Amino acid sequence: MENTLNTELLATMIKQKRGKQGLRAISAEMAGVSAATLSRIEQGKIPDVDTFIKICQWLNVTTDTFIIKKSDPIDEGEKSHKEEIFFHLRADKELDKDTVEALIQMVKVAYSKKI
Amino acid sequence: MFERGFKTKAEKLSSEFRTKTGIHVCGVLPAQHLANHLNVGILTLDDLDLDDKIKSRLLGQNGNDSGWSAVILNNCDNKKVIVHNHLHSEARQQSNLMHELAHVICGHTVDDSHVKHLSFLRKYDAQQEEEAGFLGAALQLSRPALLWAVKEKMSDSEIALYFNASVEMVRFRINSTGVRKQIGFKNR
Repeated sequence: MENTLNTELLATMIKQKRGKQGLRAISAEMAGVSAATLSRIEQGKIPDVDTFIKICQWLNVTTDTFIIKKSDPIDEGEKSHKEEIFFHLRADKELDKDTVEALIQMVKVAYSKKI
Repeated sequence: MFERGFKTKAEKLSSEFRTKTGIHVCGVLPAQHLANHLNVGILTLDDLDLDDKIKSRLLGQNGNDSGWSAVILNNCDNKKVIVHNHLHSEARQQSNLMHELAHVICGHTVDDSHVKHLSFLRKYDAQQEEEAGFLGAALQLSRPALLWAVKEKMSDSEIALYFNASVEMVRFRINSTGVRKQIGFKNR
């Protein structure tokens, strides 16, 4: 199973740090992250990599803070060479966690399908 | 910001792919037709053996759009495959597919240089998206096709219906190609 993002913690920490400041004000502090994007992330949507890194830098924490590591019991005790499937996705910039997980499962099935 | 010459090349490619696939430069180029030529498979959720819960999530809940349009990947046989959201309107499906095919034509790859432990997060490449957006639109509505349609005095809605595009796409292409100005200037 893959790692996943603790979106609840991410949203909470952003809200805590910004306090009474508006989203536009903190957006200005994070070059390239719009207020609309921040709003969606505060609602639990998953950001893209670059946005996530900028937020972590603004929060002054490492990216690890929000990673929920999931281990595959089959891999314990041996190195497995999982194939990494690279794919390009056309979608809303921020998606909710369940949709991301569903898309990952869809990609795995499509990868294995013979056509 | 496009690389110098990109837009001209995109317009040229739109006509070339029509010619290569036996379609008139002013004609409708269906995305499936172009995909066959590029040896790219096209699938929908109905073609995949998915868990009901996953399928339901991807189809959208309570009438809401699920938020995804299309995915392109190399499958286990190293063949490029697009899985797209067949619940979108026909015009939007064509736009989604042409956008993904444009990524293929441009030779865009997924950048795997990002931090490994964040590999489950998306890498959004603005430059690639802009290029695929422009080329995808040009593939759907070629410049010669727009010139013909405008000369025929077709309305934006009529052009959209004929070419299986959205009215917004038609207006974007007419503005970015300047075909109305060109015809207006010629008619002075």
